[in-house]
Amino acid sequence: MTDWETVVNENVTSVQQTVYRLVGNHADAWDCIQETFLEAVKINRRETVRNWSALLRHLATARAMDLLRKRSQQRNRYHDNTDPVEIVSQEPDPHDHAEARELADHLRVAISQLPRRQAQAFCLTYFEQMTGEEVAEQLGIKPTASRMLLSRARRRLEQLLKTTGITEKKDGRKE
Amino acid sequence: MENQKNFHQDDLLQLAIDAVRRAPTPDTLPPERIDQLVATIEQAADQPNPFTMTERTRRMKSRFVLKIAVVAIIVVASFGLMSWLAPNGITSLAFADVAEAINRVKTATWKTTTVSKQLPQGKLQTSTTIGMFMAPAHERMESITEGITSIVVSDGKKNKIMGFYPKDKKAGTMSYKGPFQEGTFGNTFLNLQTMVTDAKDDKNKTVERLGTETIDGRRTEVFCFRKDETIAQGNSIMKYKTETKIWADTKTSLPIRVELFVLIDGDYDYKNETHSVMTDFQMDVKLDPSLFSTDVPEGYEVVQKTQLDFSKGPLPMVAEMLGMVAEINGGVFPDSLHGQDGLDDIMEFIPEILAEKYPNDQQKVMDCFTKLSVAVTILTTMTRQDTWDWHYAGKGAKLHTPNRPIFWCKIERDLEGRKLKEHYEVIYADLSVKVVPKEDLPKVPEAEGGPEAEKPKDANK
Repeated sequence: MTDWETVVNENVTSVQQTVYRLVGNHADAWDCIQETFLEAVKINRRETVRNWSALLRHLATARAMDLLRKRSQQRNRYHDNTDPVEIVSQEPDPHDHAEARELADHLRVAISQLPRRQAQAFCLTYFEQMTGEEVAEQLGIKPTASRMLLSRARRRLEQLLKTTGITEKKDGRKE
Repeated sequence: MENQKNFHQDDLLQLAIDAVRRAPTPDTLPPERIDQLVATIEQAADQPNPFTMTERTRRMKSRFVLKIAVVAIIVVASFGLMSWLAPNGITSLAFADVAEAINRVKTATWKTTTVSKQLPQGKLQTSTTIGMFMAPAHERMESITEGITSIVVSDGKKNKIMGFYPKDKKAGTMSYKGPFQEGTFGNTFLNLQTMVTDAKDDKNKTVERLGTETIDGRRTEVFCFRKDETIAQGNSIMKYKTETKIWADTKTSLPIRVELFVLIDGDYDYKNETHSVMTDFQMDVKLDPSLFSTDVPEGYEVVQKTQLDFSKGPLPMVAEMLGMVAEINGGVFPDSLHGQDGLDDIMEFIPEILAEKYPNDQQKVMDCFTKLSVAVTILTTMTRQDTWDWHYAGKGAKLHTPNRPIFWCKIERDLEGRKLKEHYEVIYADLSVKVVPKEDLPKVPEAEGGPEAEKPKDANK
């Protein structure tokens, strides 16, 4: 019998951060969090879960990706100002904060245009800090395949970011 | 002062990644939200167990844009019902009579109900098919699977097959050109006729007689036979256990009912159980020939049009396949055919990669995928045979490099089926295929394969 209270309490923060990082607002994040844990219930019924943290972050990434794709199709901006409280940025300079936010926006949109598994491999690697073997295990593929997905994702994202017309100054600032 | 420079792609992506990572996120959910979540999850966990496909099944189902499943048809049609033998002992109906009666049939219709289940806890999938046959080799199969209707029409003499989905108004065709023209796209009834003929003439196989039964007032003789088989399909090894039962009418010698039970045990924990029942046979009925036309119906979008050309033998198609794979693999050939970083690994992602490469060209995706699948099936099946003399040396080879051998093998027979003596062909990195005398074959000690090399462990037995 699974102790769901413990599973939720131990993992909800990391799940929340995973989805919020991608969807960017509380309302969508809450939906994704619920869907993530409900999906985990279904998976738990048919197989034994050995690593709840990795599984939940994988599911959370997938749910957030689905939402980003839906948004992309509906052409909604994902920062829809529904958050009642602005979360304070760590950027020292407001200008840097705005730039970083814009760049992050572009990347999220670009990720939503990747094929599903490429997007998952990319997010699990770069945002969830999973190793190639961990990503492969979560996606149910071999490590070489995981590396291939990641390589393709990076190439595609580089192309997509290029189409935004962003350039970078010598001092590292973009414009 | 230096002018502003354009960004470096790597830098920009990394900057973007860092921006997302550093984006502020809330510390945690409020306690009341967490409590609400726990309650929701616990309530869901108490609900009755819903179906859900495994991730693997989901991936497998999502691979095909149009599920004509021609390869499956080829496998089932060529594998379908097992060979039979003359019965043991003195009986009221001899198996030879059954074989003869079936071969006299010029037209037929029947119904097949198939129940398939992914093991251990997969969802049951049920399909119902109405089959029609017209001699010499025309067949039409109208199937309903999970509420979706698909129709496949095949011409076993011209080796053309056409499938379409009435609901989506999508269709695809496939044709074959090359040696052994007839029978490449075998169909169920034609295959049944061929198999019973083979069984009638082959004294080594055995069929178990189970007794008699009465079905709908008709007395039948029941035969049963079993077979175990291991087949390489694409980059997987599949073990088949089959059991076939036939109820033959003692008055007409024709089948009234046929049951086929197949258990498949494959790679990657793939297990599937399928039970098919053929009933409602109507033999030598009047059928409209237009039902067997392989022309795409008017108003349908053609999403696949593939011609498999083996008129120059199999190696040109294998070369084309290896070229496609090299292109997908960044312009270099796979390190090996089998094992890590090899063809087996890359092929798993071919549907996804093709969809990405040709995002607005479904025909191209399906055409490439079909050709790749056929060529891979040939290559991986043959390279698992202990007796085939083959070598692969594609590691590090760049596509389009002239005079760089990547694959060579011994060809046993020509296109007319005549035995060849010491005939070798070589595929080069520029995808050319040449006949090379044995003494001039590439000398690449690290090449994969060869009759003396260790074969993959799950080779065909």
